[in-house]
Amino acid sequence: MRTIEGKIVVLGAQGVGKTSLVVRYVGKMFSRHMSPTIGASFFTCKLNVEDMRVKLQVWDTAGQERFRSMAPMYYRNANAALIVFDITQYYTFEAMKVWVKELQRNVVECLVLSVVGNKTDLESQRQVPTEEAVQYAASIGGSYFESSALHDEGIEDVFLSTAIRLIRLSRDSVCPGLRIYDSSDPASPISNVGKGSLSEGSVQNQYSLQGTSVVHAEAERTRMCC
Amino acid sequence: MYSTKNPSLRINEADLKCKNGCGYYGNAEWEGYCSKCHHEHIQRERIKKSGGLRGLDHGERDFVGDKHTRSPVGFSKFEEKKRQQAEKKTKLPKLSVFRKSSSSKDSSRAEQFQELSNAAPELEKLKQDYHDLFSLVSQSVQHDVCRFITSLNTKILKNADLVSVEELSEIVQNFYQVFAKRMEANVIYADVSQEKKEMLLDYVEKYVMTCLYTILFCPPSTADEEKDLSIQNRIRQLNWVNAQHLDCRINETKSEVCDLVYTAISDMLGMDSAKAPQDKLNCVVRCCRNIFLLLQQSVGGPASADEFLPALIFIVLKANPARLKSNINYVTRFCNASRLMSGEGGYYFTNLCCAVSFIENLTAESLNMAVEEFEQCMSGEVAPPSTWESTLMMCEGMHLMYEQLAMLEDMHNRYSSFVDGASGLKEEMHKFKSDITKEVALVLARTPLTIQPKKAPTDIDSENPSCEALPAPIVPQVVARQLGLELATVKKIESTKDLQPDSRASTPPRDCFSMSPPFGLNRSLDELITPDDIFAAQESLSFVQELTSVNYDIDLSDLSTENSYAEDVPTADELRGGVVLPLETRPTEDLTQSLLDTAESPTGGLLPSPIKPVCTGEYQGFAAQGCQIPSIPCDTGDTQSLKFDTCGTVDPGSSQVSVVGETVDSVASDGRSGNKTEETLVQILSGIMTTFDTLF
Repeated sequence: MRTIEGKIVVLGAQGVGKTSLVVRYVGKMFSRHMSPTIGASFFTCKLNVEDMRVKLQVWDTAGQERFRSMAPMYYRNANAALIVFDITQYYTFEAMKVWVKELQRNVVECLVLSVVGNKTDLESQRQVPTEEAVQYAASIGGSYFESSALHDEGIEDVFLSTAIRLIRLSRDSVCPGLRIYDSSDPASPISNVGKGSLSEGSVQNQYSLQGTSVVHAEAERTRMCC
Repeated sequence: MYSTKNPSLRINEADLKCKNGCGYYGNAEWEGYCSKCHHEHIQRERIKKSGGLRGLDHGERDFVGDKHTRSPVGFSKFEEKKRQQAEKKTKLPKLSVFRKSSSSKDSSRAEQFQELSNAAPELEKLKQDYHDLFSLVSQSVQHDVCRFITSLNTKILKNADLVSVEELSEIVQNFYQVFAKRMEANVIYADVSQEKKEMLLDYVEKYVMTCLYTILFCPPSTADEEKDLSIQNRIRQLNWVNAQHLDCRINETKSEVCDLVYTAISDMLGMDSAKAPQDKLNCVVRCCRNIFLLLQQSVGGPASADEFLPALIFIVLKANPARLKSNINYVTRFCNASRLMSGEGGYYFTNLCCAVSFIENLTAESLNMAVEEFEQCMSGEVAPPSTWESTLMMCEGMHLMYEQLAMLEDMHNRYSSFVDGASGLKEEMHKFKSDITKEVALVLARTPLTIQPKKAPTDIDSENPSCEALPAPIVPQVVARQLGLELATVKKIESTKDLQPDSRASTPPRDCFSMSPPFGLNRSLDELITPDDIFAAQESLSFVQELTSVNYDIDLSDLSTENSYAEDVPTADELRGGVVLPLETRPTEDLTQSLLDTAESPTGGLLPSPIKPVCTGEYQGFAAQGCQIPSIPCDTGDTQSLKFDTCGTVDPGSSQVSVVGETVDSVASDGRSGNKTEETLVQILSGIMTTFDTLF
């Protein structure tokens, strides 16, 4: 089975729920398969999508403003980025745009961008319209997701779609940052995460849905990659 | 420097100037030249000698000049000197290249080999660690790995003094990539699994880096050491920063957290002692894991990056690791990039870099402090109230206090449990005592102890006052010898006595009568308890039954009672108990009654005593025992006795007594006739007395 190893960095303004998002996902993983990771700031998860295995290394970043300047160290050599904003705070949406610009400027490698609007549980206080966010995500070649870390909604989709797009990326272009190798060792534990291998149909569905945006991302990436 | 060494005024200032007259001061070490002129002098000499190279290396010249003018600012003299030596060291091999002298090259080679051998013990350990791995891969793989290691070693050694450390880093990184690609592509690695390939890569990296550690770590050509010192000073200045300033949730006063902080700090400090970049990385990983553990205690769940980074900064500040910058740079340069860019180690290392960068750029703003306050703290004018040291001391004190409190509590618990146990034991003892007393009282109440006077053997001859209470002895009456039968009876008695002389000695009169009840009673008390006796009794019973069955004159009522008795034969158990008692007592009453009957009519003694129907139950008892000597009637051969038994009376017990009475009367009547008979009479009488005594 071919394995793709990718690094995802989670970025966003302070208080948008990056950590809750990651903790929620990690917490689920903890209950589903045993991982010795003790912290929620760094963890690896393996997703089986079709005949590929995607090993995601999720790097959470400290959200405090005083650590803002350290961000380049984190997103260096990343293959994917989750840029999180709070749908109830419009300024976080603006800050997210800054993050995207910074990434596009600093990251030379191909990068899978995912824009996540968090806190859908506070729908009544929504300040960022979904259409605007979708439009923006499309313009940067990313895909847009809405999630609620509180109610645990839409979080798995984010990671699953990222994995699928990484596979797509590895097929379409040669990406030096992405480690691809054949793991012929059947003894290595296979942990099924998300809908990946549990229901092939939904994965297929998901995959075709994401197809367009990935293609779009390809077009964008030509500009992004140096 | 020279002037400071020789402040004496006796030396002319001109003597101190450069021999060349350039105006600069000279130095004895440089043969009286200033450094620049000395250098030029040396160069000239060398050129003269070799005659090869013309002109000076510009860079070198600049370098020398730079050194000449450079003044030691911010560093101690020692540091300056050290750097000069280091620069000399780097310079020398370069010169050797210019000279192309084989001798100098040989010396450097020798030096390098020595360096390699210095690291030998660690290499041996490394080989042992990876022994299992190499036993799993083929010989060709081993050879290939060894070849690669040697080639990299020689390559680095060749280039170590020529190129900058960044270029060396590039060489090493390229080598890692080449090796990884070779493992992917080459045939000999075909059957090696991915995990083993990774391990082989790690092994190569560790081996080479351990070999070349002295050359590659903190190379003198870089400013790593200066940076180390500056960051060390910076951290020392920031020693007042505590967890509150950093907004990190470390509960310093909690002993478990404190222990973990210590562990994390020691892990961080251990980074300097490791040689291979991966080992250093592992130290960082261990440290960070401990930080997560302690955060877990403080936060109560998996800690996030928001909590982790401040905690790591705090640990770095408190640990103040030696040669921090050198270590970070060394790892960055020579650790396999694929390891450093990804994985847990990579993440933690990135965080460490962030922490260091944060510390370097730390301002009042980043600590949420007023600028003035920050400045004051930095200059040491004001120390924030709760510095790490004071917290540590407090923590230590608290730790001790808690420990002692815990110990006290434990002792208190043990003491109270001891007291409880003691009181429990006391209560138990009291209870036991009262229980026993109660039981004893109960037993005493149930079975009152009455001490009965010991029965003294009756001395017939002595004057017993109790005898007075007895009815007066029967006065022998002169009765006309009417009945020859009576005499015959006496004779019969005598004959029986003769037959059984032994029994006469103890209880003389008793045995005279074949069915004497006292005899039976005595026996019953002493011997009837045994089952044999019961059988005997039963036998005798049956005998009686036989008798009765023979005896057709017996009335039916008696027969029925006999039968009933046969049914009521006491079992062995009953016999063992107090069942014997009624057997003993009741018949006596009846006996006395029957005796009284006879006594009431002394005049009627001549007459056969009236046959009295007595309670048959008692009779059977006697019969049971009395019939144990069935031979007596046979022995005597007396028809009289047979007549007594069979047809004389139905009730042998009462009949016997009556017979006794008769006999006594008859004997008494006989006694008058002679002394001999009197004696016999007395004997019989005393026998009766004894019998009564025993009965009562």
